[in-house]
Amino acid sequence: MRSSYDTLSDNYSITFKTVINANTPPTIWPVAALAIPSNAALNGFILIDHDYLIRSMNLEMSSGFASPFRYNVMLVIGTNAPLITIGQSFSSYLNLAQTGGRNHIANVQQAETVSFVDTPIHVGAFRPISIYISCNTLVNLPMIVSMNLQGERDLVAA
Amino acid sequence: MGSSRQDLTPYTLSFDGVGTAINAVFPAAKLLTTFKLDRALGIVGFQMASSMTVAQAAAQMALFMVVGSSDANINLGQTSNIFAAHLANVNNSGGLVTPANQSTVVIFQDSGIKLPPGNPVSLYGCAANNATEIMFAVLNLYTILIK
Repeated sequence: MRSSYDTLSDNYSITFKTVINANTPPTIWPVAALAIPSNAALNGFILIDHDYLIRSMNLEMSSGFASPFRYNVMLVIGTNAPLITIGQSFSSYLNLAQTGGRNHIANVQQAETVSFVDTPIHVGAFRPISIYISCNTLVNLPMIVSMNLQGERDLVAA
Repeated sequence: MGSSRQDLTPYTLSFDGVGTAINAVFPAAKLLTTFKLDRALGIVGFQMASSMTVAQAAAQMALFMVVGSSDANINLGQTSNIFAAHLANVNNSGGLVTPANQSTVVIFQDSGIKLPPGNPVSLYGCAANNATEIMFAVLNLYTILIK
């Protein structure tokens, strides 16, 4: 039986827009043309000043696309380095993978949510929770991304 | 609320390629990427995300998460331990090709899957030998250490 309705009181979000474009600087954080899927550029991060338990994480993105490119929006915990290599030093927790179409310009949306009930993700104090994006080409790719975390302060660690 | 506070560790597998690198028409499937555990782990859940651009007049594309096999080629009709599948059919004949994006999340709440050391977790794919077919896939395994 659920014993409490007020424990999910420690929630955090990152929401930003950017443009992956060779000629226009990204609007918020640096984005680079990178070989995917292994390399990824930091696009935003948060630092929480206490130990934290993630009960649910949600990642959403919307972008325009045209030619056949591939990109990946990912949630990574434990680093805010400008560039990382996924699969060697770091694993991701949540991904939105996207390929491009052909002869077709459209808008795409993706979202995914993961809820950990019995095994929350423990994040130590000041351990970065970051959004990385990799893209195999620099095209005029407008994108909006939102990451939302629902959780609670880790009182055991405190 | 659950009371467990055991740390959760993700493992990530990914694949980025075109049909010429896959070249296996359903129900045949080709190994895309795999890893073998060096310790006993419990899988408490996973997320598999994929996007596939299927060319007109090519073949269906498919992605499978398989536990317990790392053979280079398998026949899906004879394979068990498929944990998740993403399927994309051939596009219409209009010439406009829109990618198929999919994401699957499975969380085993009160239990999990015990993976002994050396047991592979793999991604298998199907696609025609066609460079215009594009697949991008990521698998995140959520694991805990078990004894």
